[in-house]
Amino acid sequence: MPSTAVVAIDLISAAVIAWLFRLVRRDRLHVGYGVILVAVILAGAFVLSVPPVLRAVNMLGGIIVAAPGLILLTLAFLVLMVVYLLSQVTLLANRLTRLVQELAIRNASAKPTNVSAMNTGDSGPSDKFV
Amino acid sequence: MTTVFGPARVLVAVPVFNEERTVASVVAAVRTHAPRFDLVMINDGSSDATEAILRDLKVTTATHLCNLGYGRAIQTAIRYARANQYDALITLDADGQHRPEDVERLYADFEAGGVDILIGSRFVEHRRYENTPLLRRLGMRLFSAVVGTLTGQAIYDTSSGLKIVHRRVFDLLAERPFVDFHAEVLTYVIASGHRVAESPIAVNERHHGSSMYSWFSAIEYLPKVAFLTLMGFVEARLMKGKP
Repeated sequence: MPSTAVVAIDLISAAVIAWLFRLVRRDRLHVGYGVILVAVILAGAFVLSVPPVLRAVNMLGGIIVAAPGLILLTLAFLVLMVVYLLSQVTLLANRLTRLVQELAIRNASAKPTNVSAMNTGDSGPSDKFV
Repeated sequence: MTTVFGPARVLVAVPVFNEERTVASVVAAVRTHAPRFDLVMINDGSSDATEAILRDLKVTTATHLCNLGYGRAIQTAIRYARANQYDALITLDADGQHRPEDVERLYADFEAGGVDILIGSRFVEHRRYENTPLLRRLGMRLFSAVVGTLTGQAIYDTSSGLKIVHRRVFDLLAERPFVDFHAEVLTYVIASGHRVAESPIAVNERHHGSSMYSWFSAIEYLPKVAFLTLMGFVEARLMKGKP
């Protein structure tokens, strides 16, 4: 693979990893998915960037057809689709989590077992016994 | 700690998941040894008799409708403390290993030290990870080294469940993704310019139940916490000084 292609692949990989970090940081991608995707991208970039490793993988695989560019594009498309789907799953999971947490907090705040708060009209919850 | 409105309001939060055998004794111990603090139990979707026991004990309980995990339960506690304007939050594990009699002393250290997070540390005194399973010991050493390398501050017990959190960092943590409120949170908080310290505690032997970490979750834990720790450090450094 020409060195310009290797540089391009490494740059694209770095950009995708930075994007994944940003998604995880903003809680739009679950950290577990992020770890797996970053590992896959790093492994892919490593294989494509180091010719002996790429040759070894090609030999081991033995199934690389005569359209590597197309395969690469397909793989890139699949990775992006997976990131998008996992991001959507994370969004849904986060909304559900938030809902469960808010319900728990509201129910707990609405039913204080709080003797001092009930006596004083204090809105804060408490578990103090008298 | 006092505020302009009077003495500080402090909340003890105990995340609990299927701890029917220990939860009553933990509640009783907190009520006995830390009576001036409010108590909330975070029932993380328990499927055993935990919820019924908590109802009988008439203890304030925030119940998750399904199991969200330890980190999310701690996050619920932080949000609850923030929503109800507490000045500090004390987290305690429900397996009976933490001794509620340590809470008052730990809180006195927290007040005296003026820190943002105080960790009840099992290892800060002797600095040896004895009586800990090998895998866990390796993890503790690793994350202690990671936090130390990134922040320049040695933290010996990154995974302690007994912590005191000042309201100054509630906003910082309430919306943040974290795994189990361990190294990833400590690194982020320290790198953001806040103060974290450790104070020695002793722990009881676990008599019932098992660790929340299975082999699989322990393996999963490592890269997830490492990822978030690194990310939090970079983010905190980039954001430092920005409004």
